Amino acid sequence: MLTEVKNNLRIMFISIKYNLMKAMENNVAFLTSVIMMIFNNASFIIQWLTIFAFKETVGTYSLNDVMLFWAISSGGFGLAHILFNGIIKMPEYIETGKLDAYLTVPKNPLCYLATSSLEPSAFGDLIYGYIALIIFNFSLKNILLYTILIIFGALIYISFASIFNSLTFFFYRSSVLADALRDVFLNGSLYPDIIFNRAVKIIFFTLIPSAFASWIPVHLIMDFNLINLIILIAFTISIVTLAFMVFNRGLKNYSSSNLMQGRS
Amino acid sequence: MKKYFHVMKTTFNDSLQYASSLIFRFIGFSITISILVSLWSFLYKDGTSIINGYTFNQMIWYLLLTEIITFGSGSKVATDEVRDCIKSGNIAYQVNKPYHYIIYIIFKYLADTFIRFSMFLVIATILGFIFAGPIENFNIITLLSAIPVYAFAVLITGLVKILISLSSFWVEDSKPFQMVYNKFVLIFGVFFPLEMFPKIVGKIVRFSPIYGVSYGPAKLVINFSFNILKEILISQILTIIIVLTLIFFIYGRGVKKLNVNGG
Repeated sequence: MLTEVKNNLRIMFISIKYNLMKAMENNVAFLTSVIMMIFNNASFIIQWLTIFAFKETVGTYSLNDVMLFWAISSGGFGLAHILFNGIIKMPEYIETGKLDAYLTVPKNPLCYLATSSLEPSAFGDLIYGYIALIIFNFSLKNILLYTILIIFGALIYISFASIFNSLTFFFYRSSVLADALRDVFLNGSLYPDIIFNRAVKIIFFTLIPSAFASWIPVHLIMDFNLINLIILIAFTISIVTLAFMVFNRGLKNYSSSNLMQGRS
Repeated sequence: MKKYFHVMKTTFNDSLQYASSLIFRFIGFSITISILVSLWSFLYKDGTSIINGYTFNQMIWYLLLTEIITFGSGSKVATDEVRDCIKSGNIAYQVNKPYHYIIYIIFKYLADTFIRFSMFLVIATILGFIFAGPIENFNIITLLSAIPVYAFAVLITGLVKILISLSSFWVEDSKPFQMVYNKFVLIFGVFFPLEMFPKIVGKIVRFSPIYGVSYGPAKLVINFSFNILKEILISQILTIIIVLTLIFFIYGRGVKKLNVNGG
């Protein structure tokens, strides 16, 4: 069991390394994507500066606090798309039969598929997360805590994406729903929890669990609480397990299209 | 011209086939709008009745009227299709076709956008009534004036996206540029009316396409006057002329540098 986990982690690490090398093959394109993404995210500071120009605080939150939501979401999202971007391509693989290439190796297909792709611009998200943290909430403790918490954020986000992308095994073109829900997940995590009413909060703690990827980590950085950390760890383990279960169940429904192709 | 209308008709029929998949996008649209409405509700909750000249009703309708254009013009014809065509080299085959590629893309984009835009218009109107009630002082003159203004807004959105996509002749990927442009529209056009920004920012935005594709049309509907209508139409027509000229110029330059390998 342990050897199998070790083997899977090794192959995932190698995949990520090669993805990275491939992405950096064209330095100019890579740097352009990264810089543009940083600008893209930074543009939202204007949104909040504009709001704070006519409101001193948003509820109990200051600009620094709101930017923490941005830092956490951006970092988690970036990390997920750097390490596990293959999950986002899963519907395409299932619909076109490209998934075959991931089933023929003696490794866990979901792990192998998840690390099969990398989104270069995601480095911009990750870097922006750190920039926002350093500018608005700098401390060594915060940086350390942030680095750990975005890993949970990335795992929750990508597991959520995997669960809904796995629906493609059952329903054709369900990826449109998965895309829409992913956008909602992200949007929910970018805004402070205080603006939402109880019903919306319940949705973000259950059906679209962006609260676990953003709100809880933000509160952990603001005011560390061991119980919240345990809840976060437990939820992350649960959603990752669920993602594997749904994928494995869906795989039983999969029929190959006899596409003769190896993975790129 | 007949051939371009034929392209339009074919694309329109194709779009109809996939109209049902738009229902899923409505879920995303509705929840995105709900999040922004939550934000504005919270900001108005402390008893503030007007923020920078806008009532809650006007602010929510402003948001919806701008989001209709953003979501309604989200066709990938002007972005991914043009970019992929250039990147893959397929543009070389398009050049030889008995139509002008740019006009072909514009007509295709308009047809693809028509259904999408109409459906988002309906859903946004429903959401507007739910979240804010009817638009204050809305009448038939406002409605009739909004039709050409919104049509031009959709056209300008597509033209600017085509212009950005044409950069693929020189850069590896035009997607990051599209993203940055979209964010500028979102921040300076969709999230806030120009009155929310410092005067200098407002003046700059008035001379950019953002004015014609978001602030202008929405402002016209929530606060109609013939002066605003005149100002917006002039701005939109000028933008269309300038962007079209740039498109044809850049396309001409791009096509000249094409190297076609046989095979």
